[in-house]
Formats: sequence, structure tokens, C-alpha cells
Amino acid sequence: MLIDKKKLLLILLFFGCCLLYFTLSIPSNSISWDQEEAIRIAKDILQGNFPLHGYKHSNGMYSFPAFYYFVSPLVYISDEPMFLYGSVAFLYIIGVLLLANYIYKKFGCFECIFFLLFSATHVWSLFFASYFWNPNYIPFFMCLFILSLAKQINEGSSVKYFHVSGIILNIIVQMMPQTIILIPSFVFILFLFKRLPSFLNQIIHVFIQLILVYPWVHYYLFILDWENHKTTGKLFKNFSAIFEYMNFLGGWELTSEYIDYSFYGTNTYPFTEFFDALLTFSSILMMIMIIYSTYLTFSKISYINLFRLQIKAVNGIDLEKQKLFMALTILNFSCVFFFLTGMHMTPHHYQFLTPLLAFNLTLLASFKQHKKIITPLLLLCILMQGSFSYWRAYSEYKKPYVTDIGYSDQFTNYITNNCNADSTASILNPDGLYFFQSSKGDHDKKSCGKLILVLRDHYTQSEIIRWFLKKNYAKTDMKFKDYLIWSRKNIKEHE
Amino acid sequence: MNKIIIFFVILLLSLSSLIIFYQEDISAKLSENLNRNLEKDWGKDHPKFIKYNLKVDFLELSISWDKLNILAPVFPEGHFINSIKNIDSSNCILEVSLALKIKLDTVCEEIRIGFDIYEWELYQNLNISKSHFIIFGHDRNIFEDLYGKQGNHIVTINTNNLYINNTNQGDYRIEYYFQDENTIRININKSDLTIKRQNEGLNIHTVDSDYFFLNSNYFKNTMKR
Repeated sequence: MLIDKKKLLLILLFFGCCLLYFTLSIPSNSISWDQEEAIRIAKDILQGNFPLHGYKHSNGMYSFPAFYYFVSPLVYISDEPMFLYGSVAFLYIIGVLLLANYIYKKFGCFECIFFLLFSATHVWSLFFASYFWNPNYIPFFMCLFILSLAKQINEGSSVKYFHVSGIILNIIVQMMPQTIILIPSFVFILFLFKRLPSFLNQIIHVFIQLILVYPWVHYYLFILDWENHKTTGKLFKNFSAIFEYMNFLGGWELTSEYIDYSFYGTNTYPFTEFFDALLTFSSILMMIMIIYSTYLTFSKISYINLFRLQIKAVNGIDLEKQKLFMALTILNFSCVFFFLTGMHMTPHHYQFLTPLLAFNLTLLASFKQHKKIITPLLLLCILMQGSFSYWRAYSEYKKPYVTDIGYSDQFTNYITNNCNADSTASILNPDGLYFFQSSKGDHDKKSCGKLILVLRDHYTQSEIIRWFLKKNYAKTDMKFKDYLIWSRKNIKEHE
Repeated sequence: MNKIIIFFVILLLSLSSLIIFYQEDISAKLSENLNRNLEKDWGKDHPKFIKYNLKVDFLELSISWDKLNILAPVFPEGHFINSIKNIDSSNCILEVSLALKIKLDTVCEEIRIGFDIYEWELYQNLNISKSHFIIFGHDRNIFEDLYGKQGNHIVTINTNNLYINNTNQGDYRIEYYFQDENTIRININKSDLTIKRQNEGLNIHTVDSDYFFLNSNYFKNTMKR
């Protein structure tokens, strides 16, 4: 079998870029309650206790169980955070490559290059693919969904793919309930392209959906103690959805060290304003392209009557490509529902857009009529997104937190090798002082006393940290990654 | 098209007439609601209000009161909020101006503010409070509360008699607005100061020097040893 060299080269380049990003960034992630709880539930499954639901979301609703069943084989192989975090990155790469392979075969090299470039640089997509969490497997399933949808609207027999798409959508919704808005859009796409299966198949599929969510429904209907069940209540909260959509496009929230509802972002000091401007600009450019895609799509739909819509073919564009472009735009457009209902959204809720955006903008750039304008714009976005993503990955590698999954053990070895068991290490950051760990070193090692670990950036940025340290502590010669290590003054004097 | 315009004009006129006709009833209902909300006990973490003759005028977009005393909630010992003993105001009127930024213009005959004396530790040009700290958290985040409600407002307060710890300071004009979600910019008699939320605590920047209230963690680890 002949392997297309160009395709192989593209795959290797994409794989190399992702490998670089994830090798630098995965060890610099934390582990918190969500991850530990997910591992615990997956272990329960492996022991034969099959849960009807997962842990509670921040809105008070119990999560759907599909995620835990999906990750339990992974937890069976290993419950090491590095392995589980790596599995998200691995599936992200696999999903993107499967879709890229389809794009290459159907549309050619140009589209494939842009799709891979976008996927290897988009700020939030890469960030979320670097750690273990319910919604972070969505891009993989979304790639499968798009593949199935593409086959459904462009190939002869669509019933099989209808069921496959529906089942994948169900898994996606179970991982992030907000993605339920994809279902009406999916139905509309099938209706628009006259690909709805027979009524019998639709009924069968409703049953499939009910079976898949039944454990959760059963729990809510028959087991849950409703009197003691509290949720955040109302659907309408604010109009943050638009802002957060733009944030997902550009990724500017990751330029802050502390971010909501997720792990920390990046301490971009002293380049914060520069990166903010860069990412905001790329976000605006992408928004313009998305609005234009939406205009192109809806201007090609003619309304005949309520039960009959027609699409107008665009001269010089392959109909398969046009249909897929329109389908992706409609799925993207379903985000309007979030804006209208005032749902509280954050970037991780938009993860279903990850391969969708890349594919949609790639197809837009490939249209002959727009190639000259859209291609440089898209390249510029990719360049801006890539600059920050890879700078961020390198920065995380150079300046990790000592609590990160890839470095806490390293520090344990470091303190054990250098200090005896009387020594302790605490972390000082802008929030305050927190105990980290005691040394397990032998008595023949020196006593380091009470050590304080401060990141060099925090020390430079915070006057309070400098005041705190100068008051009672003296700097030592010890060093770990980008940490400055201080010890209590009286102990140093005593030594 | 003309019919649609006429429809909307008639609708607008009808609504305006209804409002003018029922303005007293609407004002009375709004006064009742506001009084009820201020009387309600929202819990120990929230301020309490003592008021006398508080009225809403819907047509004038104004609220007036003869007396409004704000009692600060009681937090753990040493909390910055505890240092504010009382904020009392008499014979005030608050007018709302609707513009790009909503303006709340308050004129009071007298305002009395009482607070504890603070102790400071000087570090370079920064006065760090040795007596009080601040807590930022999910439940007690005064900035989230204020910003959520006043993020797009400019508030001005004019008074002839500002009493601070029972000493009359005379005429005062105070204006404040949120510069961003972490910073309040206050202008007091044409002199600027900013109050900025940081992870480490609360930074009050004036023309002459800076004041800092540490967060509870720093306070516990430095001042209370």
C-alpha cells in the first residue's frame, strides 16, 4: 500500500507540535477534587458498583454517568494522573487526525493543512486537552460526530450514521449538558438537507437516547431526595455568554494566573497587556469570519414554506463542501441560544466548538471567492494563537508550581536529599502562606528549618510578599525550578 | 410601514398616560417594596438598615429619606468591616439620571461616619494595617456584591456636614465609580484615591501614601503570632 508522503509529513508535523506542547504543559497541571472524585467513581465501576450518576456540578445537578464508564478502562490501566491527563491529549490528537484524514481525502491538502494548523495552535483547545476532566474528552467525540455527520449528509445511506451521530451526541451531552443545544441544530441540518430518516427510525432513536440517559433519569425520578436537593435554580443569569464565546475564540482569560472554574491560567507578567491585546485581536478576527460564515450560510437557504427549505448552490464550490460548511455554521450558530437564555457560560462549556471552528474556518478559507482575504486572516489568527500557546507551554515548563502533578514528587526528592526530617516547606503566594510538606530526609542531612518557597515572578510582582519575607526570613542558596527558597532568620543565624 | 409606526406611537402614548395617571400608586408600591427589603433581615453577614420616612418618587426617579442609618455586619474580630461603626445620613434625596452610565446623585444635609482607629506598620511607602484585615471569599466578597450592582454606575454624594467620629469636617463632595472589577476610584473634594482588590488584600492608594489591609491569611501569619 502506498502511503501518501505529503499526508504522512502533515501527520508527523502535527503530532510533533502537539507532543511538544503536551510534554511541556501536562506535568505543569494540578490535581483537584473533580479529578480525584472522577478516579474514585471509575474505580467503583471497576469493582462492580455501577453508579447512576457522577459528582455534583457547581449548579447543584448531578453529572451524567457516561464519562465515568468511559474512563474506567483507562483507570484500570493506571490511575496515575500523568497517564490520565495524557489520555485526554492522546484522544485529542487521534480525533483531530481522523478528521484531518477525512478532510485530506475529500477536500485536499490546503484544507487539511489549515485544519491541522488551527488545531495545533488554538489556545483553549490545547489547554483543555492537557488535563483530565469530564468535558475535556468532548473534542474527540466532536471529531467523530462531524465525521459521521459529513457522511450522513453527503453519502447515500444515512440511517446508520444518523444513529451513530445521535449516540455520539448523547455522550457529548452527558459530558457537558449545555451541549444539548446541538440536538435541535442537528435535527434542523438533517431537515434542511432532506436527510431525516424514516419515522420508525426516529422513534427507535428516541428510545436509544432514553436508554442511554435512563440511569440518570431513574436516579432523579425514584431515588433522589428532592426536599434536600438544592440547585442554583434559575436558567437566566447574565449575558456573559457572548463575552465568554469571544473568550473561547481568543483565549485571553488564560493570560491571568487565577481563572474561574478551571485550573490556573498563566502568569504572563510582564507581558500580560501584550498577550491580552494579541489574543483579543485574534478573537475579533475570528468573530468577523464566523459572522461572515453565518451570513453566507443563511443567505443560501430559501424559504418556500414551513416544511420546505431549499439550499442555493454557490457557483464554483463543490456541493458536498458547501453542505458541510453550512452544517458546521448552523451548529456553531446554535450558541445564540446561550446568549438569548442568559445562561452562565465559561470557556469549558464551549469545548464542542474545538474541531468545529477549525473545520468551519478552514472551509471558509478554501472557497475560491474569499481565499485571498480569508486565508491571510486565518493565518494571522493561527500565528497569534500559536505564539501564545507555545509561549505558555514553555513558561509552564520553566515556572511550574511545586504542587503540580509532574513536580511535587520531584520536590519531595529534592527536600529529602537536602534536608533532615526536622525541616518543613511552605508555599508563599499572593493568597498567603500554605504548608506544603515535611522532609523525610535522614538525620545525617542538615536541618533546613522552616523553608518558604516563592516563585520568582510572585516575588517581583508583590510588595506584600517582599515585606513578608524581609520581615522574618533570609534567602538561602537552595533552588528548585523557578522558586526562590527562604528560611526563618533565627534558624539561619543559629546554624 | 406607516401603520407599524402609528401603532408604536399610540402604544407609547398609552403607556406614558398610564404611568402619569397611576404615578402615585406606582411610587407608593415602590416605596413599600423598598422599605420591606430594607427591613428584612438578610442574615448576620449583611448590613442592617434603620430608616425613617423613606419614599420613592417614580416620575422624578428619586428616593428621599429623613433618616437612614446603616449598621455594618459583624465579622470575625479584626475584620476591616467591623472597624466601620456606623454610617448615618439625614434629610437626603437620591436622584437617578439615566445616561450611558447611570448616575446616582445624592444630596444630604448631614452624614455621620464612625470608625475605629487603625494601627499601621510602615514598609517603604506602604502603611500595612496591624489592627484589621479583610476576607475575600465566595460568601463575603464585598467587591463582587458592589461591582455586580454598581459596575455601570457613577455615584455622587454631597453633604453640608460630614461628621467623622463626631468631628464636623464641613462641606464634602464624594464621587465614586468602578474603574474595573477590582478597583473603585473615589474623588473626595477633588482629591483622588483608589481602592484596589488584590489577592494579598485591599490596597488604598492616595496622593500622599498607600494603605494596605492584609487578607486574613497574611494577617494571621504576620500580625498575630
